[in-house]
Amino acid sequence: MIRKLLMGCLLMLCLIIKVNAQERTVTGKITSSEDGAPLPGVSVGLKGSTRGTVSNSDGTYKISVSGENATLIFSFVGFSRTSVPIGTKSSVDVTLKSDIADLEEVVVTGYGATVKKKEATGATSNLKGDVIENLPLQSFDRALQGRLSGVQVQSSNGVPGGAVSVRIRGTGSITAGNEPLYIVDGVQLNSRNDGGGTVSTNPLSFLNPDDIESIDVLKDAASAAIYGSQAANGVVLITTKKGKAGRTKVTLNYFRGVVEPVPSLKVMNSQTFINARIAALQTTNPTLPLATIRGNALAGLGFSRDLSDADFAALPTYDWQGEVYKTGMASNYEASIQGGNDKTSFYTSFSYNQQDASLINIDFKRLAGRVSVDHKISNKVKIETGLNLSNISQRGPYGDARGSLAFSAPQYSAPLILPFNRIYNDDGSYYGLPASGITMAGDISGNVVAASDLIKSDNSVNQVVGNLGLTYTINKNLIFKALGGLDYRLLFTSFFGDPRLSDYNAIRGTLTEGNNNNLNYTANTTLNYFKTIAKSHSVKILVGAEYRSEVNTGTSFNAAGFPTPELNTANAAAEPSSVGGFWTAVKTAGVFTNIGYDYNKKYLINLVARYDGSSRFGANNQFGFFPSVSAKWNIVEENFLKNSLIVSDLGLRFSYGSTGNSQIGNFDSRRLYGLGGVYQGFSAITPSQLGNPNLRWERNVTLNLGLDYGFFGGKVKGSVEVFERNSKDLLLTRSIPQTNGFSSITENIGEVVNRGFEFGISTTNFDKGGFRWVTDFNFSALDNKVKELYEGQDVLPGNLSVRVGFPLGTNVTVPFAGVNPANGRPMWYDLNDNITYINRTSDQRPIGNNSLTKQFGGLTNTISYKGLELTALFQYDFGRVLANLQEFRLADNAGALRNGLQYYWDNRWTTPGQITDVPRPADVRTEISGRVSSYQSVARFYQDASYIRLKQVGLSYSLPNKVISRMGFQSVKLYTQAINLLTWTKWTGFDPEFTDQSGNGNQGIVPQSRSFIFGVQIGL
Amino acid sequence: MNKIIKYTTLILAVISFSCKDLLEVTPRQSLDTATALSTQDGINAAVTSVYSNLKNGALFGRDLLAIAECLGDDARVINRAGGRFVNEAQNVINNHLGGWGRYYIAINEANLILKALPNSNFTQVQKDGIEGEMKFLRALLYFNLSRVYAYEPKVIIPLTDKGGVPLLLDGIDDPAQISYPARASVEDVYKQIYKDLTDAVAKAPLAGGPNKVTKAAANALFARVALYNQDYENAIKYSTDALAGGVGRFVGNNEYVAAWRSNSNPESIFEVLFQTRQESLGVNDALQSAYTSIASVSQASALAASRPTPLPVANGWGAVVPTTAFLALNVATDVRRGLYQDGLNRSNIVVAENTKFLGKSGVVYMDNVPVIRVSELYLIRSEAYANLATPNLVGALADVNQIRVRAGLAPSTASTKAAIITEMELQRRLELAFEGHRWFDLKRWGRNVVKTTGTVVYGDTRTVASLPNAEIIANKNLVQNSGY
Repeated sequence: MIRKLLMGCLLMLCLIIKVNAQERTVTGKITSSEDGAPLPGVSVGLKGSTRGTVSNSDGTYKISVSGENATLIFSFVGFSRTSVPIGTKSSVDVTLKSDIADLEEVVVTGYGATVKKKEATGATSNLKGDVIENLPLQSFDRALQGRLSGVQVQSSNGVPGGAVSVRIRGTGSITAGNEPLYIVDGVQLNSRNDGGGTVSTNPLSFLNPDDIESIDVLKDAASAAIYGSQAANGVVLITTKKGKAGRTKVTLNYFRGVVEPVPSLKVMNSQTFINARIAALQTTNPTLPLATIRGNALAGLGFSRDLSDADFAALPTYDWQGEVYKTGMASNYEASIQGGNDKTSFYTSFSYNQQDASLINIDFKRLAGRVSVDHKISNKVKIETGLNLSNISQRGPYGDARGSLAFSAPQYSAPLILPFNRIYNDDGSYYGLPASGITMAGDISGNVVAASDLIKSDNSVNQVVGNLGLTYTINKNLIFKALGGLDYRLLFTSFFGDPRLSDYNAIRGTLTEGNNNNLNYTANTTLNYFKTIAKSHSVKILVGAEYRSEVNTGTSFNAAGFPTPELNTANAAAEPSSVGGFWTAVKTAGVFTNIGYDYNKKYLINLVARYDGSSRFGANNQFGFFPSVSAKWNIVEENFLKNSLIVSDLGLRFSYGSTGNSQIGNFDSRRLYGLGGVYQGFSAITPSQLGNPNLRWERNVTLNLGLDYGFFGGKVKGSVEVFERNSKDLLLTRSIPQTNGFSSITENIGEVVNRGFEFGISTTNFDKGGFRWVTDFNFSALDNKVKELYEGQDVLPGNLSVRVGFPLGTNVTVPFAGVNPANGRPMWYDLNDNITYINRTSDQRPIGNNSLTKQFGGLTNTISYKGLELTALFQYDFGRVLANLQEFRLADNAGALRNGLQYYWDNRWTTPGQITDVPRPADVRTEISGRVSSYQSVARFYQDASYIRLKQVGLSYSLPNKVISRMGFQSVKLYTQAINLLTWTKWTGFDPEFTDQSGNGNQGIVPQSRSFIFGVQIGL
Repeated sequence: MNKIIKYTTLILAVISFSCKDLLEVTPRQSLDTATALSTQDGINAAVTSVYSNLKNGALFGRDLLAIAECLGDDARVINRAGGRFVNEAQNVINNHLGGWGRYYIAINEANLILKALPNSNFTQVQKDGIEGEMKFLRALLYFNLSRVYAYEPKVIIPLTDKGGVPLLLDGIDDPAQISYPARASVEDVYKQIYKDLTDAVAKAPLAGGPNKVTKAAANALFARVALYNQDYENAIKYSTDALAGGVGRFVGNNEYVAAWRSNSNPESIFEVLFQTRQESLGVNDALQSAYTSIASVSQASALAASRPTPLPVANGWGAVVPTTAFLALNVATDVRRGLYQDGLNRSNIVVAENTKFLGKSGVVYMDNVPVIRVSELYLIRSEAYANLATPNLVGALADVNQIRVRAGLAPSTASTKAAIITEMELQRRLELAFEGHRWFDLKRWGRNVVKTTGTVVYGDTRTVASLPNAEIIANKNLVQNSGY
């Protein structure tokens, strides 16, 4: 039906066109050179006229021409533009050659503007949506990992739809934000992570990654400066899919798969733990007879003092890790419809995505719908609209998925629970709940499986992101655009602590609920002017203005005293315990311009400037100015290279400019009294902020040199960049002596420099007979250094890892000097490098490594033959040295009533003269003499968290046309994907990929998992 | 080109249409510092905050009692609170009392109120009342800061003395006022405390106790400060005045345990109030949880009457418990023995626990905390009488016998100064146990802390707490305590 309508439209179009006397019809079939498949949707134009048509679904076309010198021009995205003189022929079949270079030609530069890659003067990285299609990943940021040079992506944890850290060209800010600005179809997103409760959330997961057409990352100041005050950490521009004129296409897509846990840690069994406990008590009570110590140890663990050796040997060991880390499911359902005619085009999609974590009771569910409609009102006026609706619900664990030290948090406690504690009673009910009168032995006295199953921790997000744009072509040189964007997010969190659990038994259950409303809107207008003078001189001028407002409000309450666990809505609570609420807002406004000039596309120069104001800054410095300049010399356009058979692209780029960072609290510049505590039933006010009326933008000044290259017709191509990014006037929340009654003040002080090198190469290794092998490789190296702090301070008070002359995240500790072979005690190096038993805070110093990544990137190989395609992405991240705090907890050797790793028991010091780095066990990790608890130092646990990972392997098969046309489909693709298949690392914790969001390192973080999916995509 | 200019002008006109207004945002949950204390409501709310700070876990919320007991020799710690308190009980270096930042937040709040007060529209009587309250609280804060981080004036060990604490007396609410103070001498800190308490005694309200500052409270604190300063005349004077102040009453033998079961102890002269459910510090940080595994007053009574099998499962930690030696000091007929009873089963251990804090507010993990109560004043005066240059042994014995007799013991017949002091010290230990006194008493007496986990010799690094490392880095004028 739709096709008939379309044909009708085309027919009418033909009728309208003035009919020539010698009119005749030319028909033909267009096929792809790659696999001989018919190409639908190819534009067929008659040279020298406005006449044109589009090929049908079977690749055939029909066009009326006049005269005998007519030439038809065939163009299609991804294929070389081909012109064919038709002479007197009435049937012309054409084979189009695919042209991958063509695909990558256009880059988005902001405010709806695009330029050909060859004409871009700034440093950008780009990705097409199809590369990240059909992955079991909930947000597009995760899918960027390893694919773009200069863009470092680290999943904060393994929660599906969980937080991700994205750093473009390193970490420049010490205490202000380091996240880039995200813009979807012109709408500046609120990417603040407001996720509440125990769930790890990601503000970018509202968008189904399969709806993305392309992602462009603006890396240097020159390309990002148009976004001025918000661009210091780079800008990520997302363009979603739009409908194309032609046949209406329906695509159905479905995948399903499994999510597997990482291997569990090898902990001690029941017998080993008790032996370790006895050894620990022996160290601390050297005078007591062994029998007494054995009795004490057993009694302390809930056993009879004189447990027989046979009973001891028969004690079972329960696998708590196995009970909380379980294989989960992943599934995705999608339907999209797109199409349109010459005036109106549309794209609409609906999807449901579900994925479990590999830890029980953690999952992610998203319903998302998207509609995008473009309509030409007239030749001059065009409107573009997009609307994305999504509902996300996530379940969280007990504690905090981002890292938790809560004993009842399974992600933290599972390996720590004493192994002889049962998990279930014989009747299948949970062991050790308070009602039974039994407590589990050890510090962790709550049943974490019960806690995970019984508590209800939910986070849900309803989000609308929409845009309405108007383009008015005033004349062929002048275009006016206006855009309004809305990003509205309603977040709801709910936590019910079940009264059956020991933590909530005394208060008979607790319920905490909160909502967080965020209304963010953007409005901007731009005016574009283009003019080519004397064929060689092109001028482009963009001027624009933008306004953004964001209001964030919320309320919350806590109530306790529930009659039964089944009744857990707020009205069932006996007593409200507390209520909360907040209101905050920010407004920004700015004007900007971009003036571009080029001479024959050979010499190009761009000037960008933005003048921006923000309500966040002090009355004295509300506005900032951000200029930049960039230039490019397209050497390949010079005569001596123009006809080169070897060099197909060669261009040198230079850029220098400044951008701003304003990622601080909305009212950080103000002198404020905030709400204090409560006394005698009255609410208090307390001086909450010293304020700083001079507070202004953090400023990034970036110098970039870039080289674009291409050889052998684009068979080898890529870019090389070197840059220096100076982050100055840092918005630094620095500690002041607490004797002032305040602990910190935000000032523009300090400077951090990031120097970097980025290399990207894409090679077509083989391309013959339909067999094609393409390799993409990217490498980024970063060198970070704190250049200055303030007032001669060379260490940041309150954060020893920030020191002048060192990279951010410098590891500072008292170095471990090994175990004294004579007595098994741990030793340390004091400031004078003398060996001591006493680990003093004042002996801490940098130990020569830090927690920042030094090199990262990825290697992708794609092999395709006919409809078959195999992709493998290796991703790597080198140079992070982190304290493995999880292992630190697991190295106690029964010094506390928590289980630990078998490794530390096997390698402990036992006999004089023994050389080992594991001290002898000691109760409460403390040697008696000196009363120094040196075991607690993390110095022993710094590890190299570098890794190489086979991040993604994908195999797909598009069924041949012959087969599918018989089935009545347009296309059928079967695919399978594996994520995190293999990892090579020295890191001994669950997984080296995490970020420390809670200050607890990798403790209690839900680790990454491995997933496998299988899917089918059908085009109707 | 003309069009560009035209449209640009248009855009700029739209935007620049009062740019300042475009960026105007007024906070709704904070007040501008410049005007916050310009109203009576504002000052009253700020006064509330100074009190509220006392509830902090590092101060009277828990640590000034529970951690002080861990450091001292009356308590031992069972490792059944996930490792909490264990290091403090073993006097492991760097495991000590703290709260530095919170003290100075509260001090600054008081200073700001004192600065705003003269220009406020309160009546003179109201102004005096608030001034008295603030000076008492400032004195209380400096006194505790000083005894945590520094020596007492008359028992200073010059070799390891690094001074008292920085004295901040002017409110700071502007970045221009940020200062980098050095430590004042212990003597100067005490001088300032004396000064504030003199004003507090003169100006604090007569009524409003024990949850708010009264004249009686000022007298009582002055008595204790004077005792710490070995200024016995003043200790006698102010304890006598405090006892006559009408706030708090000396309870009798038959109501002694009941007094410790009521929400507010009738003996309290100054008591930190925890009133609403949200003020509970929760299982991990509450005083009740530190001391006992028993959940409530009613559960304590039920358990005292009969112990079921199996025992109800414990909620609180009950990790800081009396040593066997300490329990042995308490004879069976002593009414105070009623404050110790076997707790619940936690970590397969059941032991005698102190039950002075039992969620008496009706909310679990929430109890009012007595700062000074009547019994302490008799003990202060007894100690002062005995230590006068010319000892008043009759007075000293009379006061200590008040405590003994009330406890159900026969009056002491000690006749020598040494014997009376020994008896006074014993009664002090028994009477004020688990209220955070013993560690500080041993320290002001300049004595070693002898415990099974090892002796802390007076003057050892661990006698005083370490200043926060970040403070030492942030403030070059600040000197760390010796040995840290």
